Amino acid sequence: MKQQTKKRTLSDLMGDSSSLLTVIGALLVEIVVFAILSPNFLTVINFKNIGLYAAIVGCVSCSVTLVNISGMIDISVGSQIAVVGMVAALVSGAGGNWVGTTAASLAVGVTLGAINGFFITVLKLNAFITTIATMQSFRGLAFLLSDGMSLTISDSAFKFIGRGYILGIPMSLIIMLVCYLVFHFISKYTVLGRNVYMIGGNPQASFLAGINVNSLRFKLYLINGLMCGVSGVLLASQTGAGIPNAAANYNMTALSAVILGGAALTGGKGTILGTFLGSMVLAVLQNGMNMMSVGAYWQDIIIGAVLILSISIDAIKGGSLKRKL
Amino acid sequence: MSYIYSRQDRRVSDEIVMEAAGINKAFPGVKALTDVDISIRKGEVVALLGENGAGKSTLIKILSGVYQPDSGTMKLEGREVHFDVPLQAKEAGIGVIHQELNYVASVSVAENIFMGNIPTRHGIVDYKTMYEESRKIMAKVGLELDPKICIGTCSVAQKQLIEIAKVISNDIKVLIMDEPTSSLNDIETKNLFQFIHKAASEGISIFYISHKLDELFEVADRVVVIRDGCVTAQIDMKEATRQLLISRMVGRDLTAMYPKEGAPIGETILEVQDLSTDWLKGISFHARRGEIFGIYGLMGSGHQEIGSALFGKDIIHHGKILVNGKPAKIKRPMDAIRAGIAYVPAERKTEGLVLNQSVAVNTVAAYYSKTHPLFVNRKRDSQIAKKWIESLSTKTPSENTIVESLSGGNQQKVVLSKWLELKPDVLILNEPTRGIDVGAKAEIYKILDRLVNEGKCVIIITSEMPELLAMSDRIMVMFEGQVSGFLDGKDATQESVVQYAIGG
Repeated sequence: MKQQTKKRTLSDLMGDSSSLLTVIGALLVEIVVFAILSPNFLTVINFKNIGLYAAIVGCVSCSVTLVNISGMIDISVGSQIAVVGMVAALVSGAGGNWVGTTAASLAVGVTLGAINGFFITVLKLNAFITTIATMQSFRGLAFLLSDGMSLTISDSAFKFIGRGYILGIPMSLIIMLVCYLVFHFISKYTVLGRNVYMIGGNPQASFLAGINVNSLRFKLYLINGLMCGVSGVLLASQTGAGIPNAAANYNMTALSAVILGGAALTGGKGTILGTFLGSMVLAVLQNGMNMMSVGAYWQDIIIGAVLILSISIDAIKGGSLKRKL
Repeated sequence: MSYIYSRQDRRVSDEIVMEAAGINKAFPGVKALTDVDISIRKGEVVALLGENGAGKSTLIKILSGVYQPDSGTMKLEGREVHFDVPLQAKEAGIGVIHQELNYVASVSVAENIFMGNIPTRHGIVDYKTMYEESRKIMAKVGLELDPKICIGTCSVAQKQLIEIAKVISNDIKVLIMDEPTSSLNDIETKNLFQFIHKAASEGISIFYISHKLDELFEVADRVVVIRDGCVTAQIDMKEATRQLLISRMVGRDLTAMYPKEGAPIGETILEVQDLSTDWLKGISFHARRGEIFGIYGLMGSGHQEIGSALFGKDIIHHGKILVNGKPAKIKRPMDAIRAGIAYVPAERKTEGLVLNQSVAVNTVAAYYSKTHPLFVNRKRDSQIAKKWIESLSTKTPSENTIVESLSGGNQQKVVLSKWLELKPDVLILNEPTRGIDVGAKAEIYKILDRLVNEGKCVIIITSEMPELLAMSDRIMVMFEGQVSGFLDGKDATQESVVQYAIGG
């Protein structure tokens, strides 16, 4: 009897990490393939580049993961990041120092998250529909803020956030890794994190167990807005500008990373580690293709193909071919 | 259906309509069926009885072509048959009424009846024919409904009759009914039995699956008892007794299905005054320590909503709730939890558990809500879960097992542990044993008896008459959102309860 108990626990664990294995496999295959095809791929400088590239969307992917695990969705993150970037440029341009600029940017991010959260949790609108609407309005706002112009940022202290190095490691990369560690901790060791999985798995049962489902959902949109703030700051300081049409694909990239990492859009499933690996798969893929000078159109096709291939593998492992519906 | 059909109207012939012999079926790690032989004669009602997981579902899935047996033969009217897909069984004349009804709530009755087979003329939906045919089909089960109305507005009983009408319109020989009464009230159940008697007297053979022993005495001619994938008894209903059936089913004598010893009644702990919600109109009652307080009503009488009102799920318009003499303002479940109320909902899977989480996580869910610490403590989670697994003898490989894989009775024990950990004064259980097999039911009853002996107040909201009568110290009956009567548990009879339930 004891032995059986142990076996079941082990298979439970394997079940949980099965999509992690897929994404780790994908990452290894990519690295091996690019290492063979491109002589400059396996270099320290290149891995720094990958990190720099992955950092902006990597930060927001952390909170997008929690939103998805909770059974909600936010597809307005790209637009939120663009608004934050514009605000950063405006505040900096008006003479704000790096602390003020950053604080204002984060505050704007939280405000945008609160707007999404209000409609979704107070008026109880569908999250997908709400964020389709705010995705457009926020993008419009980004253009409105500068009348459609890009604004350059001259404050070098602010630009250090995205471009600087500490002990030879890019700041962006450090910020991203800290975000992942914090969110990993939240999701695994805090009651808030546990409750995110609960409300995603069964909101009704969670509500009846005394969890304040709506308040938690609202908090998640606030957190997501905050992380849009972090990504927006990184974006503005890396590019040294506020660009109204920036970050257009970021919501899709973040969602792709989350899905590659094994989260279910229906909620209740997913890990921060999975999302981290998922975002690495996407960043390495993009970097490798750039180094091999793969055309932009082909890059889009290949990224889409990798995404569909990876979720197909998970689905087949989950027995989708043996089901009739 | 003005004529009252009864079992006497049936003349079961000797002609065997369907038989299955030597059926074996194994799933990875489990032998589901072992050498099962079963047969049914024309116009016969054969009850399939067994605990959850005994193999009943597997057997009916094989009979209806959902699964294919590993070995064994099936014959229909003497000819050997082999079903690869459910459609073949349907075409051969085998109809199935599943426990979970299949319908699309947002479209009309007629469209549901003709789902997948909508009549057309020149490629355009022929509504006239569809509505006419729908009326004819529903008339077969004595149902007069406008086929244009949305099926979502029909009662559960009506939906079920529509489903039955749909199935028997295909000229069937064998009808399989899987727990058809699980969501019907007593009157609707009586109507359903009428239909069964009538259909059987017209020569349809019926496999009837139910947990409710009392029903079998009313409808079945013969009982086939299945335990651990084997047929353990084939008993003519005339010779069957409850004790005999139960002992064959669980393989041991259940000396008492309802092991109620009762407890000394203490002071009033819950007092409800003039409670009104969208469904309730001015409900007042009180319940005491050491008491099992039963609430009964027909479907739609509002009895189900008392639990959700007291637990802050519905909006309370006016009225007072006093726990331990103190007024409790209950706006959301957390308020009820703080006041010392716990609530086990009727729908375990949709309201009671987060199915993809472990036993431990589900067990401590309410504990975390009440104590709201910042961090999780897995070690303590495990300890709490293990304590309740032992205390309620929950059968689970470990506290880390995903609750989805447990049986209904054990899932219910996990829901119970979630609440018992909070040491509530008042425990409200909505349909405490729905979808649970007989053995596990008795265990749940034993737990309830233990709780009142610990001085708690237990409120059961139930549609199961035997459970209500056997377990309650006092009974409150509801009709159209109001209290229609109180009964003492000792004096209550089925008749007196139903009298109140239909309005006086």
